[in-house]
Amino acid sequence: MKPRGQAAVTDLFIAIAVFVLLITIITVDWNKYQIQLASELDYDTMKFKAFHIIDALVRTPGVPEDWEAQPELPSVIGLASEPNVISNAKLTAFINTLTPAQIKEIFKINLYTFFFELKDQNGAILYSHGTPTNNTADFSVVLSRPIIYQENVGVVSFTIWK
Amino acid sequence: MIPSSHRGLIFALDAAIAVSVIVIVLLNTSYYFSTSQQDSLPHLQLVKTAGDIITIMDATGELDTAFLNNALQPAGPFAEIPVTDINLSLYLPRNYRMWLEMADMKETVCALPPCTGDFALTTLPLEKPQNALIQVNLSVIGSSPTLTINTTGPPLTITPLQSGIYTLGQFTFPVGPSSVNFQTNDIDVGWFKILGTAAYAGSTNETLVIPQSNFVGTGEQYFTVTKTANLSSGESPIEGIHRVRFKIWIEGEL
Repeated sequence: MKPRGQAAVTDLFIAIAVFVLLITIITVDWNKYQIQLASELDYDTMKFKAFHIIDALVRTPGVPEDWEAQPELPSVIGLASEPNVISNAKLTAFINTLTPAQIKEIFKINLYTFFFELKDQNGAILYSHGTPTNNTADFSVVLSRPIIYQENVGVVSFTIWK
Repeated sequence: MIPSSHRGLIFALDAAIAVSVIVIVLLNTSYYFSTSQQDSLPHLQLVKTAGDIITIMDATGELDTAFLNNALQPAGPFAEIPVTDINLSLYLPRNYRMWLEMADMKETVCALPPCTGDFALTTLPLEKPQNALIQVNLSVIGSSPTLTINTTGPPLTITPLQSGIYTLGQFTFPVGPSSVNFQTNDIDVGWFKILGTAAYAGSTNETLVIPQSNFVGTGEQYFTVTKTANLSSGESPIEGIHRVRFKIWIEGEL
């Protein structure tokens, strides 16, 4: 009896096994990368938003410049009377007048939650606004910038999380 | 025609090529994914932090004080900006390191005062040929003061009315140390400096080792130095505009 047909079937099985293995690896990898890419994009968006928001807060007076004295909502919130020097009037308006929902609307971060902190040089929290993460966030981005508040050096931190 | 005994070989070769292509694609994908993780935003944040620190030190007057304490009082050889004048660790987050360099902080002092008559002083060694301004601290000691400064270019003569710091130029300087010739009448030259050059800049820690492997953010800003001035006599409270450069990095991995 000639064994030719049997060898061909074995070849076929090996080829199918290799093919299935490769397809499985590619599918799993592809899925993994897709999930990773989506997460990365989301995380990058959060980072860019946090970066621009904290820059606007500590470096600019906002738009309009005297938004804290106006009845309308500002189009950009800024807390600085001059770059890195925090104005007490603007800070008070930010904490007491603007609600977290309004701040999220102005900064276009409705999909996320934010937490603002102003700390002194020793890390003691002087003011805060928004909702802290309490270690429940899937993603969070925290950015801090040194500032001067009432002639003392401090730090402003802004967290975006979801 | 392919012999029937060689057909399996061609099939295996096809499979090997196909597998190789897939492996290369996967490796490339993994590589680009891993490199895309190293984004530039943390680096930008690092540079922003340094910029903030300089802005704050400018606003609090620390840069002015450091400059006036060190640049305009050439009592001895200048080493580095002391921590008592600029303490960067007050502002830096943990594990951050920063190096700061202020232009125009060093000077060439007249070694054997009084420096009157005709004499030459040697500049600190310049890294590249430059056209730059000279700042001279001089005292008027007679009734008809004149000062002529001569480097490699055309000479410049002034008639200062009172003692003080004068900014003159531009002058041309070659690489390395060079000679500046002074011809004075009723003037005593205390020191001079070539503005805006690395040779005459001072830094916070001149022996600090800046890492080669980590990301090091760099940048520069300009600040105006104000000084106490007799406004009624027309003296300007602005000493000048100077450049401050910085390098910032994180110890360990970012």
